[in-house]
This record gives sequence, C-alpha cells and structure tokens, in this order.
Amino acid sequence: MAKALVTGGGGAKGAFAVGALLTLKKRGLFPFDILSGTSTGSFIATLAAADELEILRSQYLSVGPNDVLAKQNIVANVLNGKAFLFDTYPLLQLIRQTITQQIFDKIMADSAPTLCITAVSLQTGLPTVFSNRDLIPQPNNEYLVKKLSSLDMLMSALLASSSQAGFTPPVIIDGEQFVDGGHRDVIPTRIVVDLGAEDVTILSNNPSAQFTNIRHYSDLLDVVLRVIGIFLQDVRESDIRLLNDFLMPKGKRAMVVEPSADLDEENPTGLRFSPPLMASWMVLGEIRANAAVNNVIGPPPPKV
Amino acid sequence: MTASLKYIVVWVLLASVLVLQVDAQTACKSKVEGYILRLKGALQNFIPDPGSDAARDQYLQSLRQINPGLYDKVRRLSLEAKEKMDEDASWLACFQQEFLNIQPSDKDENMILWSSHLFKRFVTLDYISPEFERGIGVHVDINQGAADLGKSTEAYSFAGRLLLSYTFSKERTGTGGTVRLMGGISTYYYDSEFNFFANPRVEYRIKDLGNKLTTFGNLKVIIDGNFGETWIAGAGIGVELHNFGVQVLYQRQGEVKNSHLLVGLFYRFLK
Repeated sequence: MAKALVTGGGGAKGAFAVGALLTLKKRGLFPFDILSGTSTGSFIATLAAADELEILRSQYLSVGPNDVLAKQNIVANVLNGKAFLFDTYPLLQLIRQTITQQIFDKIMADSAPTLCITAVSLQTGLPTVFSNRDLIPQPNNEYLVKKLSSLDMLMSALLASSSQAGFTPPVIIDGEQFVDGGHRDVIPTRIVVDLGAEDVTILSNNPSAQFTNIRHYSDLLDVVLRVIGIFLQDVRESDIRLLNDFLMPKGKRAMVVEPSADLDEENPTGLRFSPPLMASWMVLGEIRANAAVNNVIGPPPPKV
Repeated sequence: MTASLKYIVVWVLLASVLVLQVDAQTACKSKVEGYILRLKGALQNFIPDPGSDAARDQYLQSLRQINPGLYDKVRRLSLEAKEKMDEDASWLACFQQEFLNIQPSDKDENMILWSSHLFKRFVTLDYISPEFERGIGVHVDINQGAADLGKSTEAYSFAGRLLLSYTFSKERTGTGGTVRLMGGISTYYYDSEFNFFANPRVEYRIKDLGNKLTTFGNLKVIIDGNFGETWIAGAGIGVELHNFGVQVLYQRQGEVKNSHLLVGLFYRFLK
C-alpha cells in the first residue's frame, strides 16, 4: 500500500508544514513512497524526498522578505510589459543555492520516492505534474505530466509552482508559461489518488474552515486579498474532497495536519516572510502534527 | 592497532560527538530559555486565543487601555525577538527547538498563537523599496514660473537642465537607495536672455508612494545649485513616477537677491 505525503501551498506559511514534517520524522512516520507538493509545498516535498529536513528547517527559519521577492514599481512594470507585482529573482537565487546537483541526484535515484511538483500551464490551463518518475498521463485529461530531466528543469518547476499569477512572473519551461500550482490544486491530492496511495498524510498550512471576520473590508487591496483567500479555500476544499471520495469507500481517512486558525488572514497567499513569525508557525506545526499523530497512532511511549 | 584499541578509539569519538551535541543543546537552551520564560510569563494572563486576527487586535486594543504595562511588555518582547535574531543567526533555531522541549502542552499552542500574532503586529520586515534604483542615470527637465516673486518687477522665468546622476544604495543592486548625486549644466532665462550654469544637485527620497505590495513612485527633496556669472540656489520637492515626474523649485539668485519659483517636468533615462 503506497504511502503518500501531500504538502500544500501557502508561501511563508509553509513553515507550519516544515514543523509538522520534522515531527512526522521524529515520530517515525517516514519514509513516504510519494511526495506531492504545490507552491511552497513543492519546495518542502523536494527536500523531504531528498531527506534533507535540516536544510529545510534552516531555510524556513532564516528567509526574510527580500530573500524571496523583489518589490517592483508598478508604473515601470506596466510600461515595460511586466505582468506582475513582485519579481522572483531572489527566490530563484535561493532555489539555486539550496537545490544542488547532489540533491537532484538523490531525488532521481531509483530508491528515491516519487516526487510530484504541481504547476499550472497558462497555455493549457491544466495542472502539470513535474515528476522524477515517468508517470502515465490519465485518460481524463485533468492534468498533464512532465518528467524532470535536469537540475535546471527541477529549479524551474519549483519556481513555477510558487509563482502566484499576477503577483509574480510566470516561468517558461519548454516554451510553456507556468504559474503557481495552487491556482488549481492548493493541496495536490489528484496525482496521489491516481497513483493509488491509501495511506495519505496531508500537511495543510490553512485550517479546514474559512475564517469568519468581523471587520469591514474597505481598502481595494484588502478586498482583493480576501477574495483570493475565499477562492483558495474553495480549491482546498475540492482537493480534500477528491481525496476523501477516493479513500472513504476503502474505509480509510487521510491524516490531516492543519492549524486550528488561519495563520495570516491578511496574506492568504503567504507573502509575509518574517523569520520570528515563521519560527512560531514552525512550532505550531510541530504541536499540531504531534496532536494528529497521537490521534491516529497514539501518544509516544514515555521516556524511561 | 589491536581490535580492543579500535573499539576504544570508536567509543571515545562517539562520546566526543555526544558531548559536543549536549554542549550545543545546552548553549541553545541558555540562549533562549530566559526569553521563552518571560514570554510565557507575559502571555499567561492573556485570554485564550480567539481564533481570528480581528478579535486578537480587539483584545490588544483593550489591553492597551486597561493594562498598558503588559501591552508594552509584550510589544517589547516581540521587538526583542527581532533584535536577538539579527544579532545571532542561530537564535531562531534555538527558539523553535527549545520551545517544545520546555513544555509541550495545549497551553503552549495558545501561547504560540498569541506570540505569532504579536510578531505579526510588532515586528515589521519590509520589502526593499524599488524606488531610487542604484546606478547611473541621465536627468533632463524643463521648468517655468516666475522670477522676482512678489515684487513689482515680477517676470517670466524659465529653466532647463541636463544632469548626469548616480543613485546610491546600500542594499542589493537595483533597489532601495535614498541619495542621488547629480551634476551637469543648466540654463535660466531671465533679463531677456539665456544664462548657462554648472549645476550640482542632490536628491533625497523621503517617502514611497504605493502600498505594501507595490509602489508607483516616490516623493523626494531636491537641493539644487547653479553656478556661473552669478549663482542661483535653493530647494524643492519632486514627485517621481518611475522615470518621469514633476518638481517645484524655489531658488534665490546671487547678489541681486531675486527669486525663482519654478514648476517643471523631468524625465530620467537609465536609472
């Protein structure tokens, strides 16, 4: 029975998933056969597939806003035909520093788990799964698959999977423009279902229920961000429903690790890269993962 | 080397590694333990996390009124985390690691939810401004206005300039400078003729125009001097929208003590 880990999107909020992942490792839930990630989750899935959790931890504890995004002058971008608010050259640099040839080789080794990174093609409008394995495309055409053939392609896929359309530039791979996988799959369960995984752990950086807010939205940006948050919630719910529809007839349920409340209501896509905040989210991820594991397999044996 | 000696060497090495690890853990603990205890102490009287930012903000506002001492304490603790993190790169890793070691319980989750909200509200980490991009640029402007403002001899005034500039930035290339040094030639039309000057200028970015996600320009202060047969010098303010903008200059002219109030348009090439 294939065992899968699904890591959802959420930008800086990915620190929560990293904390949860560290706990899963401590509690002996590693290794996984399939790792599927979107956006920040694709970065987490990749380093988890290479069993480099310490690198992951230190990255999410040290990354500041300018290590990921470069704020832009919108007048300059409009005049220069750049369809985005933030440039991602710092993120690309970060990916280049982190995802080395050694990590790529580990991921491509036969013994490595199946890695799936989801991005969305602007041309086809479909999710595209970049994988270290030759995946067979499904006849229903719900998504496309591409085999990772080089370190450069892996880095581009990671950047593409994290490139929130409108906020950051699309990434060109094989002549096609790709944007954040979260536009179609915030929690990329589709491929996990098709690969037949029945033991599934989901690390979601958002709670299952949309938060209710008592405030009045008056600022244009606030309204736009709130609407994005509502849209993402709908995508997330569909992703989990898809998995449950697959697992429930088999009498199984996915183990979902998620925060009890929204981690950052003002930044639904996770654009607030603040190390102390991310450190606290990481601790929260550890606490929530411990609680979820305790529910499923019971508490750890007492220390002697 | 005999087999027993090999075992002894291996055991000594393992023990050394263990001692080093314990030392590192102890050092980590001592770095953050005091901070975590103070944070826990300050937050223990907070209400259970209400589950939304708006409700948390409401509580913080009421705390500010009812218990300003505690409010100030948690604000300072949040800022202290940022200071410690800036001073010592390993501090956050120790914070994350030691927090769970001290007391993993439901109460800690409440505390972490509150502390993350405090970090959100009191520790601001901004994106570097895209304004005043570092590098060499060329500035041209044309201005018109009034000379001898307020006098009975008030007259038409015109000025134009072509300047080479360099924008300084301490941050990474291409972003976030505050000072721009410029030099070139200018011409002022007064007394029915064009007069030419050497024109040094300093510009200082004082405010970005935009929001947390993007900018559309900046507000800058201008110090501008023109030196030739006489001198014309003064200050002004400019609104720069990417590479074009408007400026208002007020300048005094040499010994004659005339003034020029000019409104102009400028354009910048390159940076």
